[in-house]
Amino acid sequence: MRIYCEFDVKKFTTGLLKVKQEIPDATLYGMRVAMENFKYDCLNKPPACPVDTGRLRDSHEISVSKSGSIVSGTLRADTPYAASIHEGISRWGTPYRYKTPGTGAKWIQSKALMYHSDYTDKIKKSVFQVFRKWFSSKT
Amino acid sequence: MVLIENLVSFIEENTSLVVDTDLFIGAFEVSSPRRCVAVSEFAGGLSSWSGMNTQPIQVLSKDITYLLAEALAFTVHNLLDEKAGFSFTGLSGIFYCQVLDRPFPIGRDKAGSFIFSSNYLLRMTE
Repeated sequence: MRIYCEFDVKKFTTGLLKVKQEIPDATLYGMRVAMENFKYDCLNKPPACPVDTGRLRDSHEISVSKSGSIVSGTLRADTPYAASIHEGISRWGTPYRYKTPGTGAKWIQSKALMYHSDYTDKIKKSVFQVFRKWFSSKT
Repeated sequence: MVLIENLVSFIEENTSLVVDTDLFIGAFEVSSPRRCVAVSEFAGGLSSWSGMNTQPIQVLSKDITYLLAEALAFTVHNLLDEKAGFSFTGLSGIFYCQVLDRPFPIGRDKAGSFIFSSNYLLRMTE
């Protein structure tokens, strides 16, 4: 008795090429989703961004870019003293008094420490969706 | 004693800084001298089911000139910089001190002193 088995690798290699083409855009999309989540957490989850006039909070902006094979995301708070207030120091060099409950120093760094794996998961999920699209059992 | 208190005692033991004189827990005191250091904890620490926990720490240093403030910041930084294991009483649970930010300038206070900040992540088993 002999059992013959055959597998055409054409569909597989074609899928790999498609995946290779789509991964950069998927990563860029995943990075944008991750950065949007990061910004939301910084502005809303304790210790959240301090609010006085609202200028600092409104100045938070995200951007994503691709250079070669590197996809990067940036969260920028573009106001004077943003860095020192983030470190807990007012423009006068004294400990900054956070007026609104739930706000405080390190509103960005604490989120990077607490939720970094959630953010990288967003990027991974976006990339896995490309694999799923080309290698799901239905294709 | 709690972690931050033990850490500050460790810094006091290994530098010329003196607790409640020019080395403070939490923040600079209102009447703090122009040359001093403050050590505090901040949000972002994680507890794991495996018993491996993390605690972020901030060190603020200030002095009358930029270079002196930087030197003071590095006096503390060199004690903690990627240090593996602490034999100091109360810190034996810390197995690694990861540098999040090396000392960097964040501005000047009302008296004109320069302020540096540095951040660390204590990795510990308790």
